[in-house]
Amino acid sequence: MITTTGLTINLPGASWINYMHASLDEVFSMMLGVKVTPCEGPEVTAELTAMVGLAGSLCGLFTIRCSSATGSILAEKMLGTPECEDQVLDALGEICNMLAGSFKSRIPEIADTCMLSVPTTIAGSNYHVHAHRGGQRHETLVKCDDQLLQVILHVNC
Amino acid sequence: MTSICALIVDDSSVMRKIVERSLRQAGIELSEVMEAGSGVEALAALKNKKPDLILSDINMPAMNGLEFVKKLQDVAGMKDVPVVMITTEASEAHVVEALSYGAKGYIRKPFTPEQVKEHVLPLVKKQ
Repeated sequence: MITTTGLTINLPGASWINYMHASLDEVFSMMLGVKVTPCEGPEVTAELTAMVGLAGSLCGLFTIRCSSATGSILAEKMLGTPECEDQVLDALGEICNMLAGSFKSRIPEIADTCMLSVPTTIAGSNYHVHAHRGGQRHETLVKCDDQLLQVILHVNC
Repeated sequence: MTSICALIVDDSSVMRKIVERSLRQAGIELSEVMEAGSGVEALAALKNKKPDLILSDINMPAMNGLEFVKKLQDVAGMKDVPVVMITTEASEAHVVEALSYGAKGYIRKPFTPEQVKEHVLPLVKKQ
């Protein structure tokens, strides 16, 4: 259960992950034409990161992380051939944006009252995210054409 | 159907390319594609040319898509240009607000070319 800005969202921990997987299925099948499958495995080499903030009835951060090679492959699936690293980051930001939008639309309590930020992208891995104290972290690792993608939802309480 | 000029407004260049590709996949012949990264850039672009169709995101820096559609109604000669919102922000409140400002359609991201065809083609055929 999460209580945020006076609203109580009754979701067991597994439900957050299920909604994240449903959003991944929708975005990757419609925009990239590929299937994603949850997996377990080694840490993702997080050379590229995209983040979208959630504010309003649910506050938090939606993050996706992957290697540069994976980012290029995902951008290529969206675009054809990406022209430069900026386009790879742009594509990753848009994927994160659509994932966050798809995710919030699945939860009636927040669908109309949670706003999304524009995406922020980071190239490089030398950074730390300091999450809100007392918040929750939901994380999943998925495979897409043998490429690993880490998806994290930080929810502030 | 004659070819048309479309203005695509999105802060993501990747998404602008995807929207353009989806329009072509929908069978819409494009004589010209104008691009803008925000509502401010879009209003500036409209000073030079009147498009036949506008597709706009909502979440953008500088001026968001809802403000842009609202301001568009005050730009001389632009009231008859159909606007379709293409956005992740698909809450009922956003849809109602966009339609009240004059938008003619609403497509939620992620989308398929078929959805673009369904929402955009009737507006283009009317012209």
